[in-house]
Amino acid sequence: MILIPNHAPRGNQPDDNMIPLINIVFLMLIFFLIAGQLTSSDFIKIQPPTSQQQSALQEHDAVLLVSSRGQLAFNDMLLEADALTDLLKQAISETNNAQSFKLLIKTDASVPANKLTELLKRVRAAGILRVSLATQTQSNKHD
Amino acid sequence: MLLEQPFSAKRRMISLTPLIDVVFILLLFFMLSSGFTHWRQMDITAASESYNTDEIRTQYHLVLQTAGEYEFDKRRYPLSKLSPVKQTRTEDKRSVFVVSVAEGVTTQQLIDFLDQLKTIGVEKVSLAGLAI
Repeated sequence: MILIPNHAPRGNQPDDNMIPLINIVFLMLIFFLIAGQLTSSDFIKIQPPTSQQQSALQEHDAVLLVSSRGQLAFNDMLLEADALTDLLKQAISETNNAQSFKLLIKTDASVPANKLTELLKRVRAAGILRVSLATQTQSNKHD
Repeated sequence: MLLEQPFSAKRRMISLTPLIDVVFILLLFFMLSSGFTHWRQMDITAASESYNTDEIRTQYHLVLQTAGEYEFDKRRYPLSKLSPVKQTRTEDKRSVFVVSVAEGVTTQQLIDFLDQLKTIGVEKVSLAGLAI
């Protein structure tokens, strides 16, 4: 049985030159789909410290960001350090459960450790018992 | 036997241009919105929550210095030499190591030091009154 196409064999068409480009674009698309994670970006840019800790990041009630320039942002709102304790107390009162209130601190790796300990003291003064420091794995250091 | 394909002569190849457009838009979206940081967390809880204070007898103070040193028991050691801390921890397993930092120490250096302490088996670490 012979099938005869009702049109002549197609020669080189302009689109043919695009096929390698499409291949590469598809490969890049697949790479970003698989390797990337769709997450909302932080309110201020943070380069987190690296750590050997293996605990995966969990859900938190509030996030405190500390930038390399010392800026503070609590739940996507810039604030002064003096106002932190009051804001934290307010956030706790909204959840009605201070015992289980979880705060995540995302601090830049270059932030002075003294500033971090001072913030931790303020957090403790607000009555928060569960605090986590966000870190990244060693392999992500230069991402 | 000759068979003709039932397709009409009007059938043409689909142009690839719209496909490329869509794929490019998808690619741009994923490139701009994807993040590659694998976040981890270091848990810090209030000392009173995690440690039974009746159980703890001694607090040892560690001061992390710049230039790769730490102070322990009024003496300075390089960060590569944590054996005095390890020995103390072995002798007194109920002890708590209170970590404080000198001026100029960055958060990264502090985290590295805490990691090192964990590596040698020091579990009861306190930072700013919070237990790690």
